[in-house]
Amino acid sequence: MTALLETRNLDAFYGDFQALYGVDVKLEEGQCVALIGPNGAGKTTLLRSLVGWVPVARETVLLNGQPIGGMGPDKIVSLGIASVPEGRRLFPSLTVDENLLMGTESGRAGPWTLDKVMEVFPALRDRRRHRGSDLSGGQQQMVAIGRALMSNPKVVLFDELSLGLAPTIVNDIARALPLMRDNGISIVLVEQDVRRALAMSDYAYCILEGRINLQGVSADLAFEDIEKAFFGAEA
Amino acid sequence: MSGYSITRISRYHYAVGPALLLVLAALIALPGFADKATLRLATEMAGYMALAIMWNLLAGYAGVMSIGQQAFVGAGGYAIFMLAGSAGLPLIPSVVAAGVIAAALAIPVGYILFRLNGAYFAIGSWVIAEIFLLITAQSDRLGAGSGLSFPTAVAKTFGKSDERAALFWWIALAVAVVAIATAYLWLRSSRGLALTAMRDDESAAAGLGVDVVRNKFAVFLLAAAIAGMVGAVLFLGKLRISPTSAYDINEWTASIIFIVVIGGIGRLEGAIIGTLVFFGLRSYLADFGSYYLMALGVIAIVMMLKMPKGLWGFVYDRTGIEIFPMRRNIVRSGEGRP
Amino acid sequence: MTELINSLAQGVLIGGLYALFAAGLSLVFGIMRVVNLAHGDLIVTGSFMTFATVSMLGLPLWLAVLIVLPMMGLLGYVLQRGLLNHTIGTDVLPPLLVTFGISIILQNGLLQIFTADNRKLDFGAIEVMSLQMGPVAMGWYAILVFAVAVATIYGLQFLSYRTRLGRVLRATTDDPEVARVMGVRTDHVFGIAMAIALVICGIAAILFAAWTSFTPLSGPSRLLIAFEVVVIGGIGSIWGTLAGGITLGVAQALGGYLDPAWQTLAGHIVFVIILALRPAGILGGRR
Ligand SMILES: Nc1ncnc2c1ncn2[C@@H]1O[C@H](COP(=O)(O)OP(=O)(O)OP(=O)(O)O)[C@@H](O)[C@H]1O
Ligand SMILES: [Mg+2]
Repeated sequence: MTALLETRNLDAFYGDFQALYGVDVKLEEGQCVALIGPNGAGKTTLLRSLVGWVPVARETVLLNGQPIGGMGPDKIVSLGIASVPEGRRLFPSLTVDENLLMGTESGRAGPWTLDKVMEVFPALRDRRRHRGSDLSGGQQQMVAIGRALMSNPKVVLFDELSLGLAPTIVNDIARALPLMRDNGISIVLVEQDVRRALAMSDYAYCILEGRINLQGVSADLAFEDIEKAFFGAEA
Repeated sequence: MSGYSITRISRYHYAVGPALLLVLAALIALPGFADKATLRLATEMAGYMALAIMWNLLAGYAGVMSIGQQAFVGAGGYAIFMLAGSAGLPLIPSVVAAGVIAAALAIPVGYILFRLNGAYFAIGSWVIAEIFLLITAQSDRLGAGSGLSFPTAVAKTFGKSDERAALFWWIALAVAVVAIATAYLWLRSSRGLALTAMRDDESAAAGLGVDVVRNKFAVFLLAAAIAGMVGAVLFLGKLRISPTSAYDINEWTASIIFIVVIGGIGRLEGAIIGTLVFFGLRSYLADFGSYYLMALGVIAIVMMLKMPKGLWGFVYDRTGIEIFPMRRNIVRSGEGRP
Repeated sequence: MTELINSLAQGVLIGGLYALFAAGLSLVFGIMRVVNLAHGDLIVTGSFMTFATVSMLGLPLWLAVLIVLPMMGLLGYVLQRGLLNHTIGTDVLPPLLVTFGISIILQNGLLQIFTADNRKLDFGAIEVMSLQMGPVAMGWYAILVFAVAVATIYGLQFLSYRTRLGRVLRATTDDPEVARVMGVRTDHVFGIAMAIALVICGIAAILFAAWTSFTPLSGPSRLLIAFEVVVIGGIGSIWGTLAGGITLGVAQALGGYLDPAWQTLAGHIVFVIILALRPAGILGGRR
């Protein structure tokens, strides 16, 4: 059975520097997969390879079994892979509504509308005419997620969902995830907070220095094993 | 971990020094066997080469995109006409003074321009050159719009026409040698290394902060000084100067950019090759007028897109040959020179 | 005194035209981070296109407008996708040098086709009619030019803030990388942006062709005006270009009033003073 999204022996480079070595990960339909690993491990690079920000070989990334590696980001999002990038990266001179509407540039049809995003994140209701740069960090993250949803994706890639946000706000935002899964969206989640990552996901991969060195069903993974994986085999 | 040292020298470089000295000796002796027309051409080439070396240093290493260097060429030209011409001061000190004046003018100019970055710096520098032109054209002492002729009586004190040609050639050669030498020494100094690091890897040099701006400013002043001296010697050779010829962007900047792009940006050797190619093209094709200039434009665009490191970059990538070694080879001690 | 007021009024009105010169340059810089050194030559190319259709082919002006503006837009799109998109990156040098090359090619190409003669379009009676307001006389043509300029800038503002294309353009200006992950084909958007810029240049080119005479070598002075207006008005500000254009126009008018030879110089000097005192432009910081 083919996975929804999968990498096969994925290598990724920044110039001469190799950031990923033969990475194999799989995302099944309806699943939430977590990627964990220390700083600089290559988590962001993996997500970037999936959306076409980092050039990779065509057959190393497969969507429904079809090779999509190295296609342009605009093409990949139109195939249904949306992202919530590291640092949120809203368009600072656009209003909240305009930022959300940028999601529609993928050209995909589907259920998501401005009103539906407002239902998921009521906190945005009275900010719709504000610029992205005028929002709090949590609100920005909500807009970034809403923007991804507006593209009616099959998969959403989250990079550092909770970074720099207060725990209560993270809980507000994290409520969106089950809702998304109810709408048939599969999720890849990069998260620094290992316990939270395991709690939210079905399956987890641990990356160290560009290689997967531990994986398993999230509920079965022991925190100690992960700690070991973080510091490499000898530690 | 011991046992590594860094060197810029590889084997054939031992031959480069003596070879350069031989070439230099031959160039100094040029008036002995070349006629007046050849000397004039050589003088012009030396001047262009000096400008190209400096533009390469500015744009290729320091990231300072000036298209207003004609301001300093023109200022140097007018300076020599005033100092050696009107005031009758001795020639060589006047040429040096022309460089100093150009550099002094570059201080306020740089103060204003360094507020603009990248491409905006470029057009800003052009505006400044236009201001130089317009002010010169308003100044009666500088001959206003019609310009100045070098006083024949003074010119005669430099000797007969072929002696003058030889004298101007030596001055131009000296300016070119100074340009190459200062550029080379600069690039090998710690400041130069900072510049090169910045060009090669922005993030590696990001921590250099304020020092980078000072460094760029210093290169800007150096380039102005050389441009002033080039202007001085080239307009001496012409014995006439006018605002439009002195501050001509096509002559003093467009051609120079062409030379650098063809030869290879970010390589000192590129300016030398580029000068030879430019003068070669000019001598065969200049009769075609606008078609020739259009061809230069096309060549420059194609080079920029297809061979962005220029001719010398092309050669260097395949052979590793450098006349002015910048590359630092890591040598394991005990293994000897590679 | 009347003469002074008249020339100031003239300065304000030509400021509208200068704003049009600048709007395209500003748009292109905002989105592509490219300063187009051929900008002035492209304006002059537009003027020659108009000259060729009106004076050489003898077509009516309205038809010339309908021919020249789309041609300019097409030229912009092709130039951007065919050439300039290949130069965009972190390094500012390649786009600068390539547009410099284009500038030289255009100048010399126009010289080959049209010679170095001075050209000027003749729009007939409107050029000499003037509106008398008390002691002040303003030419109808100058008023028309100003009105067209303000309307064009208003149109650009409307496009930027009220349309989907404008939203995409602004998003791409903010962050082209993220715009692409949203599905924006930035190559195409860059082409469209250059096309819009050159249509605005085309409008300015047609108006200016009847304002003063031009030659194939008039481009650089147009570029410098456009650039000064952008810097004076504040980089990236649409209405700032109008403020910058009027400032420059008035400065030139004042200079020219004192001494005709000072007209251009006065403009440059005001630019330098503003650069020294308010590097972010007179409407500084606003976008
Ligand atoms: N643009 C880039 N150019 C060169 N190297 C890069 C670039 N981006 C990341 N790297 C390098 O690639 C490696 C992996 O980086 P990546 O950003 O994927 O790590 P990460 O796991 O997301 O880390 P973090 O938790 O800090 O976000 C690191 O060594 C990093 O230095
Ligand atoms: Mg990361």
